[in-house]
Amino acid sequence: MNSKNYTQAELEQLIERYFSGLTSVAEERELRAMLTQQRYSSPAIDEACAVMGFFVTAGRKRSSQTIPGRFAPWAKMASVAAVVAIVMTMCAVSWYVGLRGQLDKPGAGEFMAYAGGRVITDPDEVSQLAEMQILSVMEASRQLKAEVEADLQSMSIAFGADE
Amino acid sequence: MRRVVLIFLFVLTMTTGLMAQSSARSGLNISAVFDGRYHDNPKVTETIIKGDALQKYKLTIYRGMTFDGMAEAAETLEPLLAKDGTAALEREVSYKGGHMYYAFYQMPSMVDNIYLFYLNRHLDGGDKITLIYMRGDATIDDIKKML
Repeated sequence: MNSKNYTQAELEQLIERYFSGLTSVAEERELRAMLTQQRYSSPAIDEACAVMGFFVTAGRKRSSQTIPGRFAPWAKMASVAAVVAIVMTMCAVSWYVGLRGQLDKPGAGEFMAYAGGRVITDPDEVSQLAEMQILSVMEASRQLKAEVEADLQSMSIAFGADE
Repeated sequence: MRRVVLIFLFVLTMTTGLMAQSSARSGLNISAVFDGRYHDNPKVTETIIKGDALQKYKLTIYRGMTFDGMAEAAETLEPLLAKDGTAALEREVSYKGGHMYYAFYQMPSMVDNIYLFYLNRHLDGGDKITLIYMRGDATIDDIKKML
C-alpha cells in the first residue's frame, strides 16, 4: 500500500478528523492501514482500534491491552444523539399519522353523508348539508362577535363616564 | 456498549408505546365521535367532503356532524372538546349556563391547519348541536373571512 508515514501526532489528528466525520474515503483507508501496523499506541489510537475493530483485526492482534472494548465518550454521545433523533422523527411521524387518523379517511368518494340513517353520495345534497352546518356556526360566530363588541362598547362608555 | 443498547431499547419501548397511544386516539380527542358510531342514528347527520370541491376554500377535508334533538350528545362532546382545547393554538369559546355553547379551535398540525367548530343551540332555545372539523392550508384569517 502506498500510504504516507504518519507521526503519532498526525495519526491522532487523523483519528480526531475521523471521529468528527471529516475524513475522506482515502484518508479512512490510510487510517485503517496505519492502525493495522501497530506502530503507535495511545488511548486515542486504542479507541480508534476499538471502534474500527472490524477492519483492523486482520493485521492487529486483539488483546485486552490494545482494545478496551468500549466506546469513546463522543461515540456514546453520538449514539444517544442518533437514537434521540430517530425517536423524535418516529414520534413526529406517528403524531402526524395519528392526527390524520380516521378523520381524514372519509371512505369511498369525495362526497359522503349519513343522514337519517341513510347514506348520501349525491354531491349537491352533501354540499347542502355541509352548507347548513357552516351557516349555523357562522350565524353563532357573528352573533357572539356582535355581543363581544357590544360589551366592549358599553365598557368603554362606562370608563368614559368615570373620567 | 451495553448501556447504549439498553438506552436504545428503552427509547424504542417508549416510542412504540407513544405510537400505539397516538394511533389509538387518532391525535384529536374529538375524532372518537367520527368513528361511524352515529351513521345509523336518524338524529345525526354526518357530512364528509374531500378533495377538489374544497380547493377554493384552501381545505382538503371537511367533516361535519349535526345532532338534531339530541341534547345529551353534549355530554359526550364537551369533555372531548375541552381536552382538545388545551392543545389549541387559537381558540374562541363561549359558555352559557355553565356549558360550552360555541367553540372555535385551531389545532396544531405539522403540515397544514386543523380547525374545529362546535355549537350547541340547545343552550339558546334551539335543538341542534353542530360539530365541524376542517383541515387544509386555509389560514385562520381565511377561516374567519369565511365566517
